[in-house]
Amino acid sequence: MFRNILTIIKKETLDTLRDKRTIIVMVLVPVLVFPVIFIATSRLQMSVMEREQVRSLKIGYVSEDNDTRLEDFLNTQERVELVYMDDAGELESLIRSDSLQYGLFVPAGFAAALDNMTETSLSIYFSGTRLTGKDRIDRLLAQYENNIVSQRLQEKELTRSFIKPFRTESFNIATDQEMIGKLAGGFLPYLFIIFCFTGAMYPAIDLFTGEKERRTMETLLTAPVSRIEILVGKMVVIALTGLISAMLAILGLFIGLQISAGLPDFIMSVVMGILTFSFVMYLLLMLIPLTIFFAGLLVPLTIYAKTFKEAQSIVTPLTFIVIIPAALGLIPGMEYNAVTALIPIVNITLATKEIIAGTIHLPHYLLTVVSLVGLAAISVVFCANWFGKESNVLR
Amino acid sequence: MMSAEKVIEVKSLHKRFKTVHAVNNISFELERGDIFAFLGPNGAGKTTTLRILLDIIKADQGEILWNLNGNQNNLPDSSLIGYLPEERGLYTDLPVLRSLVYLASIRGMESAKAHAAAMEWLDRMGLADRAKEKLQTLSKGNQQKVQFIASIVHKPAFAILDEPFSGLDPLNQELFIEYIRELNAQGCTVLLSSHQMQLVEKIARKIFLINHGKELYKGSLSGIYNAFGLQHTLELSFEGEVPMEQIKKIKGTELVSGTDSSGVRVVFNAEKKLPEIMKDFSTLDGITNIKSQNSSLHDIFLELVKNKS
Repeated sequence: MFRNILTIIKKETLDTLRDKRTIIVMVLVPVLVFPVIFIATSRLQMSVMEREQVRSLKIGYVSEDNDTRLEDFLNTQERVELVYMDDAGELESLIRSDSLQYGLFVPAGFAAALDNMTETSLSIYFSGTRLTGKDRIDRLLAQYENNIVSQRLQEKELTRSFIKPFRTESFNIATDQEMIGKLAGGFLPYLFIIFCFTGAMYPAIDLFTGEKERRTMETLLTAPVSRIEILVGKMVVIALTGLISAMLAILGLFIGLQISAGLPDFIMSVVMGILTFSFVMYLLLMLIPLTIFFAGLLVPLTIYAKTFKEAQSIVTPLTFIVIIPAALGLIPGMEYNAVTALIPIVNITLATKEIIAGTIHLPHYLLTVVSLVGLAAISVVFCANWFGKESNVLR
Repeated sequence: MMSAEKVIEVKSLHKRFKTVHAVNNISFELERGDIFAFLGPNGAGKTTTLRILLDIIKADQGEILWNLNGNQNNLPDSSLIGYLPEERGLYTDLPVLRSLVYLASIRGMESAKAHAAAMEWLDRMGLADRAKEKLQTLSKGNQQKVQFIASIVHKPAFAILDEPFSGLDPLNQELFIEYIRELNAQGCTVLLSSHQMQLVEKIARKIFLINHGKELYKGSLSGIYNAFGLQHTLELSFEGEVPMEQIKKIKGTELVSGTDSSGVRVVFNAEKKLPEIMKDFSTLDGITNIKSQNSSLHDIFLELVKNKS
């Protein structure tokens, strides 16, 4: 029995690895997607930020006040250019067209109010679509404000503690690992689940629908190999491709993190620390039955489909059925408990978050593993029955 | 209890697909060493019957008893069977040799032996130099040769060949007939199905004529000629309209079928002698040509179909 299954596994694995489409979906996309996204976004972000930081600011300056102290202050700042205007109504269109980066409206009596220490205000015009928002003009005005406060304290012979009587010291009791696990840890299983499914999709179509389309199914069925052997041999290859694809996605994620600049060191050290033997074991115990379950979802559909095209159109919507529960686990506040530990796919996202954070509750985890193994077993039995029906196989 | 010589016994097989009764009460048996031909037009139920024998699909009713290795069984011992499907069933995107070795391996042959046997056959069929090419690059006829090799490379005791001559030119058809004879001479029982009756006549010792899922005739090839083939068949040509009524009145006429507007085929019973027939026909109005021929399996089949309907 095992000899036949091995012969089928060997042949199908070789064929799968020879198929360009499968290689692209199973290997290249998972490995490259994150490095490419990380590098592209970090480069883009950095270049935009750098450009923004060094770019000369053009500020539309509309003043109804005769005092020029604010104007003088701004004019002494580096890379700041004031564009004097009479009407604040023009600011909006000029900022929208990026002819100006900000607009500043100084009302009449602004300087006098400052001198009298009465409350007054300035109006800032900006576009929220700018990467740096109104950071730069805020910094400039904060500096001007700070100068005024310092001057007032000096005049009154007061120290800074007059306006800032105490300071606070914060102690974060959560470890970096816990924070990353709880806040971003759901992203990792989400990737696993998506790539696990998409990685298994094309091999499933090729191994079953392809066999029908090439008319080799009949040849295979007349061989001294039982249908269960054929099914097991092919399902193993499908599940393996899904698993490998998921693993490669994680590898791609780590490569992406390594080569992308700008990540704080503590995140890198936590991320690298996650890759322990026990973490991988915890994950594999869930992922192996999950991939078998995915194969169990895909196989009946691909057995039923007559052509590659038909199989694609049947299988593609299934991706959403997988993505939705995977994304549900990302919702903040979704707890990993005895109930959610039993919901397929959602349980993997939640459990992985806990594993990364180091707060996994073992009984819940075991509940998840047992339920996934049960689900995988049910799907295999269903596939075996489905594959045994001539109306499906020879449709 | 099945006789020791019988390798398969099929009893009252039925198979229905929605509105079609594809196989309707079919019974037959094969003895070890037979070359048995399943004959009938397209859609007669040949392939369905073969698929049932191979357990690809299940019969609705009936019984099959296999005895390839001395043990009676309702299911075939697939390792002893070679199957050439009607529709080509090979991995077209794989190299020829790899495909053959894989198919032989899952039929229980060791890889090295499968490799050697496949190469030997490819060499015999003039395809050795194309062993590493993908099957899809081969012509239709060469693909059929590879399909044939795939079905017999593991030296089966029983070969089921569904339309083996499909896609072959006359030269290769003759070659295939030789290969089948050789296979049979080595002890392989052969069950083949075809609609090309003129080819089957050359090779089969027993035949089963089937139409619309029903048996028309079964028995030895010589038997069918004895039973139906001693009639005389004449092809007559006329100048102008065929005098059908005059022909039908001639004594001994059994079947008249028009070939075209000025021609007709006439079958006589065997009791009437040929010179007498020729004499009767020479007097017909407007006759321009008389051609005599023996009944072929094709003629017998047509006559049987007409008689049954």
